[in-house]
Amino acid sequence: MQEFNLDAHLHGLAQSGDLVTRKLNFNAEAAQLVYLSSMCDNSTIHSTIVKPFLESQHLSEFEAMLQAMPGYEQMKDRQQLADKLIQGYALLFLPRETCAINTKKPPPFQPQKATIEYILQGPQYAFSEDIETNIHIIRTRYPLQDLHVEYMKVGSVSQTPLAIVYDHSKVNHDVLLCLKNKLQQVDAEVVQASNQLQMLITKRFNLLPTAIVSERPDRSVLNLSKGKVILILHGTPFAIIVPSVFFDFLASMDDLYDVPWFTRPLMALRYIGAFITTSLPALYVATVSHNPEIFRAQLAIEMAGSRAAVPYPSFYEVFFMLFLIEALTEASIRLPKYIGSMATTVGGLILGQAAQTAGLVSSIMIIVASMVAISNFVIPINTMNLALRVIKFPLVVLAIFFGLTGVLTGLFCFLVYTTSLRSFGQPYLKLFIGEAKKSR
Amino acid sequence: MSRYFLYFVTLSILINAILFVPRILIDERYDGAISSMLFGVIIGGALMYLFTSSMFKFRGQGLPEIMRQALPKSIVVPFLLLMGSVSFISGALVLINYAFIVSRYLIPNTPIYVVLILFVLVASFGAMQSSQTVLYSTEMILVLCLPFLLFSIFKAYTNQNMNYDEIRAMIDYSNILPSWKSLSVSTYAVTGYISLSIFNRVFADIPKLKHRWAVPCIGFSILFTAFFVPIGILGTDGVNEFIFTWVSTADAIRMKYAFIERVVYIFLLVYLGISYLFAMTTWHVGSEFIRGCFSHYQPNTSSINSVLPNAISCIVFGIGTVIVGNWLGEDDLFSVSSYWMMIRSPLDICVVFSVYILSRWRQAL
Amino acid sequence: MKHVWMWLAVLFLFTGCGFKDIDKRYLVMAVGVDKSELKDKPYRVSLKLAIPTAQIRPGQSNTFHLISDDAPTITEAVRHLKSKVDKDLDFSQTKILVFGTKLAEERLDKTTIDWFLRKPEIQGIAFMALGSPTAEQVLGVRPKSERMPADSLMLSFDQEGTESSFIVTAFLFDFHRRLSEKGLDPYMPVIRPLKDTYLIDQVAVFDKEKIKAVLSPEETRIFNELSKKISNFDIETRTEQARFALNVTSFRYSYEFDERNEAEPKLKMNVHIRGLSEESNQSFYNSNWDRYKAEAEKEAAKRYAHVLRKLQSLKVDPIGFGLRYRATHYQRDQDWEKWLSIYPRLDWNIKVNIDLLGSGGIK
Repeated sequence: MQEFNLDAHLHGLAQSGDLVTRKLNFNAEAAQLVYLSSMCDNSTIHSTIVKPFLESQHLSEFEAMLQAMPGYEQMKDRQQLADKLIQGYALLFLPRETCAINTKKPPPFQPQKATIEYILQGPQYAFSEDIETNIHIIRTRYPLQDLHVEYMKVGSVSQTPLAIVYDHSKVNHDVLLCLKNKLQQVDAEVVQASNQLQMLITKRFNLLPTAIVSERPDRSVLNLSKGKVILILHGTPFAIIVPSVFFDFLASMDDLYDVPWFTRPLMALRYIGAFITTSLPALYVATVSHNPEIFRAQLAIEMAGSRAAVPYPSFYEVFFMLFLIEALTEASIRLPKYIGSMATTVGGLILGQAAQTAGLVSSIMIIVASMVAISNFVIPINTMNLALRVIKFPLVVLAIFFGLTGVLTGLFCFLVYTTSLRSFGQPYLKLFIGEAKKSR
Repeated sequence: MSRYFLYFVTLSILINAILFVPRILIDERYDGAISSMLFGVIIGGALMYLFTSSMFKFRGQGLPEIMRQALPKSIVVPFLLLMGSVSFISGALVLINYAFIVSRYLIPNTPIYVVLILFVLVASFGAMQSSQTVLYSTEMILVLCLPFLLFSIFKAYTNQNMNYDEIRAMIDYSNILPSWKSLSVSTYAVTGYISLSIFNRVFADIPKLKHRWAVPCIGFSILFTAFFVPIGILGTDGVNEFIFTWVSTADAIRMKYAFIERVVYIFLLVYLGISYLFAMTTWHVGSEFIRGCFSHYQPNTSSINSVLPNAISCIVFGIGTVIVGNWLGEDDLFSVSSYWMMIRSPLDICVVFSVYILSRWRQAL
Repeated sequence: MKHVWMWLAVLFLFTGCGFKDIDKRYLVMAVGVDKSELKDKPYRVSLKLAIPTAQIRPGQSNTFHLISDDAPTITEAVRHLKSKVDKDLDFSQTKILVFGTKLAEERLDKTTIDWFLRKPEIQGIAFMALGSPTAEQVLGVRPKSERMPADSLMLSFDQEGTESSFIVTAFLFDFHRRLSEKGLDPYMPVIRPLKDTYLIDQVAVFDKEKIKAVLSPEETRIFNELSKKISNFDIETRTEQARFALNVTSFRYSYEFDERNEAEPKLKMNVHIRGLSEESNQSFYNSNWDRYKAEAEKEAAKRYAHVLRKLQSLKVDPIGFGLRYRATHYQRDQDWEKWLSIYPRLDWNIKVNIDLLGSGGIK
């Protein structure tokens, strides 16, 4: 008997890690059962294929029973085989014919609603914590033969399953190689979170994240289509996207779903937000204590008036208010519901108002602090959000010593540092990358 | 990729035209400064053409590698040391000059050495990055800065107090032959192409340098603006009394409805960024030249952080900059920089011709 | 521990920087320089210091502190004034520089404004003015509607609030340029304090050294038209046939030198005015517009010629005819000498072209 050659039938999928093949032996002949474990339901396969196989004596009998099954389709076109497989059909290669039987897995793990990267009108569900479900989601959204899934385990103790998903025809193989090397070198004992893995495969003391951690399947699929690699860790509802550039962290999925007239200004808003959240406190210190000459006379007089009650130098009030804001943000994460965070933010502002009447901070500082806090949350990706929260402190220190010159120096160094970063060999910050416009 | 070349040239024109050229050319405004701008740009442009086409014969190679291949070590090492120091000094002069401006206008009461230490630290940090990082940051920061700069220049031209009669009165003096000083200063403004001798390593994958014709155009328009706008605003005779001509010019422009009413602060801050950028690129080029002196070196193109020689050369020249800047007075600074430019221009011409001869020699082989 | 020492060393280096909070600075809103009575201390410098308020309320928040001192130089005066106040004097918001008339009549040239140009924080775009009788009195006025000290002067000169054709503006850098430019002479508006407000309707013209004359309000308006090409003024025509006023909407003029006759050099000026009639003692409609126009043109030309002749007789040239002569002639320094000989005998040939757009709201 001739050996069954899987690669000849399903060229692209043969290397896939979740592909299962079984040989069903009859006396002289054999049938080949092929399915994707991530897409198919084991009990359905058992009841529709394995059970008839065990009960039947001859191949013809088995064939007859199969034909009676619901979801049976006879395959004429070889080209469709892989598509069927990806859609969750089990393929049976019989000596005389090929058939497909629908054994699609009912989505077992209900994915959760997106909460961290919520968008208004667009896909509402995030990944789930189960790795198979997540791959199922990706395969449904990206039904191509070229999609490769490779499994491995990370963590010498935890042995957490990890899936590397990429589009074989588009992926940059240098990046893939670099990524695999990094993954081999991970020697943590317990790996439990995507952020942790992200940190382990990039440089630990990088100020900025060089890989996106996202909970959105649509973002992952979009990046797959651009030739990026997705890492899915079992036990977290987040995917890691590598390589990522700076601009990715400030892009929301909304940008693709709406008319450019709305989305472009919103994008601009996000960049302005990023600028404000990093440099506004520093600019406040610089202008109030070193360079009040850039204000108009009226604003300068008002500022001097509102600061008149404050006994300490300007950077005390800045640090005081920033501490308050950071503490509130941190506290609101511990609160169960997000509505709670709103309450604390508002409460914080009232507290700030009280601090102003008590003469601890000036009224302009209250505005500055709330602007910093609000614009911080304009940034869609949480890791970038955290990184920018940190950067404002060195800027404030520079502003204390050098005023506006210091702020600009800090921003310059920050820009040079950011461009010096590489995400898996790709430049992290570079203008005019010339990305494909097709996804728009 | 050829746009990066334009960035370097624009950067050097912007820096030289605004910081040094007005001071020196305006001193000579009745003695042929106007024709020197025209001749300087033409000479500079011709040298640029010669240099870039010779360099492009050596695909993906920097000047240190080219010289090592062709010439004995006893010539190469002093030459590279000289080139490195030249590059470092031109960056350092800009830093010292801007430190004077900053300690005068932005942070008064701060001793100049403190400002210089800050500047030197920033420039060294930038210079120690890889060539690619330097390229990308140059693009990034120029794209961020140029709109502000162009807008303030636009405001200067359309300003109500811009008196075009003064410019026309000045044009009477355009048919005087330039002096060597003003000619070398104008040529020096377009000298940014020399940094191609290092950045040629990164330009390996482009077939041809495009838009080279833009260099003389940019050069002439910026020089023209840098020379005539101060005259139109501060007067043909009044302009002579200001030390930092362009800072005073910007101080005379106001934007009634902008957030910052005084253009001078926008101008100073934008130019701070551009000065950092210039110092960063020249110091990077300088440190790469000096690294080329050591035999066991690798061209530093893709790695993120550079190796020891760069750091050492930056530290040495950084300390030198702080000491010299602290010791120089304002009047010294301008005489030093004008002498520097007079030395620098012949040096550039030598470099260009030696590279040209090397490229012909290589073709002959 | 090593790191801690390093950072402490860095911090130590950076001490001595100019860190000073805005509430520890006294914002100087206006500077006045007068001639004092004392022989050895010729300058009397007054500073208008703003007392900061958290909330701007018109008429209430314009509280200020006026201090003055006599000294041999401005620097010394300011240094001594520093000991009269508790905060650091900050000149970065100084927008108004007022000079006393007495000082200007004696000498107002580069040495007087030198201090202002040398100090980097004083704006090049500060407004200059003459205070009549003294600068100190001008600074002492507290107008009723002001939002902050010296605000009403700023608004007047800015042309942002009021847009009066009597108010001439002179910037510090412009004044400096005119002090040294051949063929362009300086001028300054004159501020006269009233009880609760100011009157700014005159201009003082200078040669390169001191004040030459103060023009009357009517002349000031025409001077303003000619020097700044402003277009928000009106023209009054008063003859026997008609009395009416025109509100000008656009105004431009061009001129050229006519030297064909060496002995009688002429300046040909063409003035184009478009405007609406604003006030008239008779109905405009169905009547002969051209006649009114001709009347108005004749009247206007007469007025321009009057002011220009007056400037000519004073031997000053604030409008810049000399500069234009240098710009349009290409003999370098000889141009200037030639102009010096031409200007006193220049004949003015003025042609006004009025375009009457309509008669306003009524016939």
